[in-house]
Amino acid sequence: MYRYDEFDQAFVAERVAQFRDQVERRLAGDLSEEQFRPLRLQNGVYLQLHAYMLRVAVPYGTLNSRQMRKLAHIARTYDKGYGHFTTRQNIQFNWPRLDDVPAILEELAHVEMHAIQTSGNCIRNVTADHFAGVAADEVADPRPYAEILRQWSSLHPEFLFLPRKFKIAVTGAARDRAAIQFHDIGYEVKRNEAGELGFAVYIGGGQGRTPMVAKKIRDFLPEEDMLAYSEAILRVYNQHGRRDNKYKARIKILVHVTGADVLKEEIEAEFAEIRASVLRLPAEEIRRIEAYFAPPDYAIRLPGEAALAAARRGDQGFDSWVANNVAEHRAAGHCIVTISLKPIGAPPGDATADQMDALAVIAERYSHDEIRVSHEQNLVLPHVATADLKALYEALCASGLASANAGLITDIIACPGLDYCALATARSIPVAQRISERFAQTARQAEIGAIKIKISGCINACGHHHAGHIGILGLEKKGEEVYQITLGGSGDETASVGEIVGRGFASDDIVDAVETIVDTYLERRAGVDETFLAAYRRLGATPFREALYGAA
Amino acid sequence: MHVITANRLADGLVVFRTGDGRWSQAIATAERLDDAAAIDAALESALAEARANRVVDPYAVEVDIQATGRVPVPIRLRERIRTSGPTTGHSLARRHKDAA
Repeated sequence: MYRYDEFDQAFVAERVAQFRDQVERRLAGDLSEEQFRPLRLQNGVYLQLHAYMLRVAVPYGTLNSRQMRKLAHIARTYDKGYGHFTTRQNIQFNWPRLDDVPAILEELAHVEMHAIQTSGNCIRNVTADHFAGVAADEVADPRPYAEILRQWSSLHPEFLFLPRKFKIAVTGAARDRAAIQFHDIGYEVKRNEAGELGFAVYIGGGQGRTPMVAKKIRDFLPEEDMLAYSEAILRVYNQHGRRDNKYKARIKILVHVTGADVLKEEIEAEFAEIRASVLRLPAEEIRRIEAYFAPPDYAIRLPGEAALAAARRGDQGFDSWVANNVAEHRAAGHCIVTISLKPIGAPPGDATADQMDALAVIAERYSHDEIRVSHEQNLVLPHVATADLKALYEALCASGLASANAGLITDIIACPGLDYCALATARSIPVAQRISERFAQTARQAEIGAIKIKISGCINACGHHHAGHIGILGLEKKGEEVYQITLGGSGDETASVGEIVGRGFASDDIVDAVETIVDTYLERRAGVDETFLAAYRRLGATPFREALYGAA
Repeated sequence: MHVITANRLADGLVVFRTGDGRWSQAIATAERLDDAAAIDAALESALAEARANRVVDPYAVEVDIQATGRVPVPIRLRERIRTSGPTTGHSLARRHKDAA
């Protein structure tokens, strides 16, 4: 994985010293809250409902064991012994003291981590496919490009005060696991007919109160032009994006109002101006960064298929874990393992300090010292030998990390909601917990198959409800929590925004409503191979609406 | 009836303004304000506390004491959760290292 060079190390160290000074001045009363707020946000510090919250960047979701141990140490020393993995591949600590934050940032800098640009109106942490570099269907590893974008966007003086936040995602495969069409810029790595590497470019996707699927503005952008093109997009946005109304300030609104074609012309004109500048990426520099992400030296292992099959026959829990949590790897004899952070009835995305420590040991032993954070609030071990699966499974079981539900109905995304968030209008975690308990039974989950439920506790949509096959949005009406359901959203390469199915449900009724929707799907699907999303797209909303509200 | 709340600057925790102008984590000790004039006066002194950098973002919260008899309970769910802490999750069972 990428290692800091002296530039990275120096600017992270400088930033820690700078923020330490700012915190001291704030505590001494030399800075007011109004003066301090933008400074703390630039360092990932929010003031939430109950306490400060620190959001730590995990660039493109890649961590090593040393870093995971440090996160465990921070959780234990400065927080309440747990951390929360987010839908942008980051981790949040919910209870740090402000006067401890400089010490936390210094500890993070020791393991090449920071919280810079995890908040504020700047280019945020660049996200990537959590199966990057190992997926069997991949054209090329998206992380070297994400790392180059990280270096370019970190403290970029022109883009630190954008109209609004700006999110970039990169996927290396046509099958989109990074939800690129819901980002301000989405890059899909591909090859042209001549076999050269480059990108399809999407802009203007986003969720929040005005969800939009991104528009493709380039079918193929040569690899060497990625930074110049990104800079051109950001310049056009920085110039024309609205600053008078924060709800209309994202690039998606600019794309929607101006039109993708008109905006594309302007971006292309800017791009033509700067294309031959220092922003042109030399191939040798890309290859140099790529070398950091070279696959590990996979030892030749006995295939272990026969032993695996026998182990699966002998252990039902292991069998369903392999069926759901193990994905195809590009290297023979290896596989990708998803560690679900969604045990039945637990808050989605949380891991305790003890679990993080256990994961560090497990990753060293079974995954070449590498862990990924997925935007679905799970963790991934990218380099597991098939022959080690049973031993790995047992190690995960010992730490409560072997939930066999990846991609199933209990693998729910939920934002922190009103239990933590100052912006929330309703709780989301308890709804996720109750749905998880309702569908806990393994056989029932297997029967329902692949389905994504995503829950947000307010219209800002951090829980990605617009992209949920079943989306749930928590609102407050007359002092009560009310949950609105959307159906048919998707964050993959067939991206779509979910449609509101009808009036909302009280907290006591929302789980029954979800069950009604699922039962309707099971009754109406063409066969077991037709997923919920496929069935919804074929049937439309009517049968679900009738099941929920009665025939019109 | 209202009480004045804010977050404490150094650790961010939720605090309530007491009758003698101090800040307490216990809503039971909060000064109870019955009319607009009292709320305005308390809020003004709380804002001075914020300017003096002891607390952040003070505001008035509507509460009811009928339900419990003694301890004020905020009317809105958001404020009830803010007062009592998350209703679920790991922080329920885990105390902060500095918690008493």
